[in-house]
Amino acid sequence: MKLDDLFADFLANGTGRALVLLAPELLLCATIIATLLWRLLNLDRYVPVAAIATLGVVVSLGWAGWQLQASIFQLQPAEILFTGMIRLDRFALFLRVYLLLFLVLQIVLTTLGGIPDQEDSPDFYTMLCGAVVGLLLMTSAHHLLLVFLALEMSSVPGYVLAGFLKGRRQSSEAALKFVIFGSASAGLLLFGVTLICGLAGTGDLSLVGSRLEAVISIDGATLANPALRTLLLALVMIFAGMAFKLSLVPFHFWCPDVFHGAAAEVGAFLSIASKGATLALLVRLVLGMVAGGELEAFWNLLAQGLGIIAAITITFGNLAAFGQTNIKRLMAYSTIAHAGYLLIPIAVLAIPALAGVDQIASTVTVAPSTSDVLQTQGVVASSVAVRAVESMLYYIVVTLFMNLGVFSCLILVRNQTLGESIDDFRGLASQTPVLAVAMSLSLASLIGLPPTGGFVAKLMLFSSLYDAGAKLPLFYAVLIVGVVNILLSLLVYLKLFRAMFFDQPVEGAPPVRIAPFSMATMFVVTVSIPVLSLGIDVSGLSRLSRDAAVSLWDQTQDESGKTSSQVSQLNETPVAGESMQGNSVSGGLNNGDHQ
Amino acid sequence: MFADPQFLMSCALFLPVLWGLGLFGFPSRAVSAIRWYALAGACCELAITVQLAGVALGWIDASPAVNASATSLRNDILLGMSLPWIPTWNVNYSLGVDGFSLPLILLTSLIFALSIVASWSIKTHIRGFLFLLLLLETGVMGVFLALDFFLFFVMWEVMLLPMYFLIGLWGGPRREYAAIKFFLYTLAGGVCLLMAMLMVYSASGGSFDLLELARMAQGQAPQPGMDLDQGMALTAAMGDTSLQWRVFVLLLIAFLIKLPAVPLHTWLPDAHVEAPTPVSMILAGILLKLGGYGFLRIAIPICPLGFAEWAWFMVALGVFCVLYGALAALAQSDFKRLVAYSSVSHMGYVLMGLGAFRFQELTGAVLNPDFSTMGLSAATFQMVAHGIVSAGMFFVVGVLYDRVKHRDLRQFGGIASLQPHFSAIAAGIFFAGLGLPGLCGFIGEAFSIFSVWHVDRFFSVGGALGMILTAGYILWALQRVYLGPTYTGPNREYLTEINFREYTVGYLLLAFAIGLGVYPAIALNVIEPASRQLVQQISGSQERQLSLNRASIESPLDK
Repeated sequence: MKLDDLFADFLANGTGRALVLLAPELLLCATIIATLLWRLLNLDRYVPVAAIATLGVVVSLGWAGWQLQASIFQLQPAEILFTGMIRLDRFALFLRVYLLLFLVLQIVLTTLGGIPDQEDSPDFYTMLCGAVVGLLLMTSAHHLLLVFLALEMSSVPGYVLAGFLKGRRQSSEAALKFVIFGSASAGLLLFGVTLICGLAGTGDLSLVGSRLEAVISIDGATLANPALRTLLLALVMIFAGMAFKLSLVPFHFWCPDVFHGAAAEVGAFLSIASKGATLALLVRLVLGMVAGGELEAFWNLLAQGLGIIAAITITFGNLAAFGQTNIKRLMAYSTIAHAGYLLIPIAVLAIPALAGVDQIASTVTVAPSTSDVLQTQGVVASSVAVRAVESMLYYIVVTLFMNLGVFSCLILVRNQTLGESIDDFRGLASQTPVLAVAMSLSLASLIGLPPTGGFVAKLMLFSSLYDAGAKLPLFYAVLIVGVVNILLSLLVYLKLFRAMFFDQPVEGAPPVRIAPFSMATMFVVTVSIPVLSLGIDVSGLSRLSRDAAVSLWDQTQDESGKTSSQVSQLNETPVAGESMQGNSVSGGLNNGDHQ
Repeated sequence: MFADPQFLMSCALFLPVLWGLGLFGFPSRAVSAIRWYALAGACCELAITVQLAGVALGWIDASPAVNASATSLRNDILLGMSLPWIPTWNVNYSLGVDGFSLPLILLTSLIFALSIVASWSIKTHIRGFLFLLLLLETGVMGVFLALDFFLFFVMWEVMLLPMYFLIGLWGGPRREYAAIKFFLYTLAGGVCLLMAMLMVYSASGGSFDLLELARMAQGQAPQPGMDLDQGMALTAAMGDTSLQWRVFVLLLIAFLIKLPAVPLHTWLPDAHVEAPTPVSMILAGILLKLGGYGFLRIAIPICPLGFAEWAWFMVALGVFCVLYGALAALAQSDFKRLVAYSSVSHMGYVLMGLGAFRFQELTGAVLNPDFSTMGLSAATFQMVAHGIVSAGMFFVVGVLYDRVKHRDLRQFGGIASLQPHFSAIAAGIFFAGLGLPGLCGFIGEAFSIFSVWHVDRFFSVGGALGMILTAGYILWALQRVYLGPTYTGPNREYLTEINFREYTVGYLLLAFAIGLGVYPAIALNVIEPASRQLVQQISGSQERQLSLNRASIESPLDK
């Protein structure tokens, strides 16, 4: 297809509708421009830029929320926009709401923490919103080209944000490290993407998997086949690029230094939004590229590799966090550990039999989890994958609140004591009990103690992991590592409990005084309540995230009217007579959920 | 409303924590008001649980409609309710009461009320202390009431943080160490429980309902009315011996830590020694019972086949705990540590009673089911009795410590001449712990020992030997503390006779110790049907398994 054909196609096929559907992103872009103009026109003396940014983001959030709600209630099918670049399904809509909600909270937090002063704030909010636009595109990317572009679009503002504390050498060092590591890994990712495109002859994620399988099956899936070696190389490179963003061991070296050097606000951004969107992208990549048939053994091997990396990352993160005295560093390692937990659903999805790719092979052993899913044997296996994605979405939503809880407490304490070490938290319970209690809730959730959301998220995750263990027994070992790590993480976070509740404040340290009914307290309480309520009232978010997860397997109706699904790519290969079952999966789940 | 079991059970579960939130309406300086308010809450809770017991046992007529629906829904228990909680994961808010949980629920509300009376001795941050205590009570009640594995687990873990803070903030000099150790051990148990829960959830096709799981594990259809064929695949998965074996091992570890049984008991002496008196009373009086109750509610019913293979080990371990705990208690010089080790020893009898099973080799039926029934009843009774006695013993130690500020047995002696009245109460409570006939300690211990006779006489002899050692360390402790020439140790001038508040706690506990010792039937009559039913369940599942095995041996081609 020539370029001008593409363009004509683009214009002919409901661009206006596509633009409406993409309104939250566009509104965010408008907000960026508005914040920049605001200072240019000297309006920021009258109305702070933060207010404009908040306004823009809230409108965008409202729009996104309305879209999600409409999509759920009217059961709208997923849509492919911009000639296959973007796939807008409930999964994308869900994450869009998630990211925009984070952005709103983050902007409010920055006004409380005062890190961008009045002079700098347009720059800060521009970068923040710009990064989030990139993240939004990541969650809906449906083409390898957009995968790379969106990833870079979110990374570059991140580098700037890391170096935002201009006067501080540590901050500059952090930014430099981040840039160097980041660009190297971006290069790797680009290389990997190129190889995949070359192998598959397309970058469209709904086609890549089946094309790859077709290419590989010519010479058989052995390492003697150069195509397979290339595929392996490409996947490793793509994974390396993503692992850098997720800070998985062994690509985590930047993380503690960047968290330590950058402002805590930026740490919150990196540990919440950036991670959530990267995971979403990884879900799309894995689901797009995973293939059964000849490649099944190969992907099973990759899935086990991901499981092992997850186990190592969790353990390493917790062990390393134990030795930290600076809370930002501790949170960096905690983020690493949680990234390991969050990699588990991805590993589960990489098992072709569970991802709904090869339904024939999946009719055995894996037990269904809820009775309403139990419809046909083919459905059973895929319900594990759906629940894996559900648990991931639940987990990142809980992460949003619990990490923000910790970071907001940290920021408030920092503004009073000018320190960010555990010692600065000593005796917090006697000085400002509200902060101490809010922080404890978040910490309990980070450990995974009931009745907090962290527990429910971990339980869901372990449940799908256990079911996946029936396919690949190695996952039982990963499960044991994950569970034992709850104990290790207990030791990490108990240090903070002890400092806040048992220790006396350091001699001569400035006391932390925050009025009980100030904005700051209100914010911390607002952020902490969901940490608890998500552990008690689980069904709402669980249903929502299951809806979102199911939509990954939805059929789509793209502009030219041909049907495709992210997963059912085996339509095109001869082996795949049964691949339509991938859709009965979602149908079955939907029926169950909406009864 | 107060005859509606659903309301009563939910109220018993949530009243303490809601009442506790009310504490924050008081200014922190209104110490006296705060204490009376908390005590009033605990008394309300006690009244509600008594009412609940009345409804459950049929002394008070429940409103007929509710009663009918509840009993038709769940035949296995006295009262039950179930509401959907997390439909997407098939989690229900299911509460219920049966012969095992009812005595423990009553014990819980009683001991909590008494420990709030005992917490008059706490001087700092009383509001936070009492709030955590009430939060803990909700957690404990939740564990005893839950009929849903998820709810059980949540409540099990809800107890961790309050307990951690209660020990860590109001404890003795090594409180932080003790608190972390308690937390780590219990969470390790919780982690095993979590694994077991996941395995059962997956094997049962996504059920957390304990009654349903128990039915499946015994090879019956998950729900009473359900056709067996429908549930066949699930029943086969849950009835698998190797799965049950693995699940049971995990549950065994989880509950042995809490019980605590010997290699896993080391958190207990530390936690007890450092904890303040009211917390020690609750820890020994109630929290240890959760381990034994876990066996009765979860481990044995949902893994009867796994249990059958481990029953012998449980008895052996129980005997070992009895002897080890008693010998360790003999060696202590710290009064509180002595009482703590006596708990290890006494909980060994619970383990002995729980495992008092022998099976016929051919059919798999329980041999001498009456003995096994007696064992389960004895275990439950021993838990109740130990709840009263150990709370009393820790209270006695606490009263002494409040006055003389030390617990060193070598420096005591001759307290009786200074506190004659209180020494009499203390002696009564300690004799109950010793297992003197006519007091409550005797019944549980003696029945445990009788019931293991048919397993192996050697175990009975071991258990009986434990009773002698118990008599040894308790009499010796009494002698070292109360008898002899008048006390001349530190803080002699503060050693006054106890006040009205302390009398109340002492006499109440003593009254229960005597009452249950003289007329144990009041508890045993409630426990007995539940034990009998559980024995039948185990017998049935074992017989079914063996007949399945035989069938597969006789006609291997059919399988």
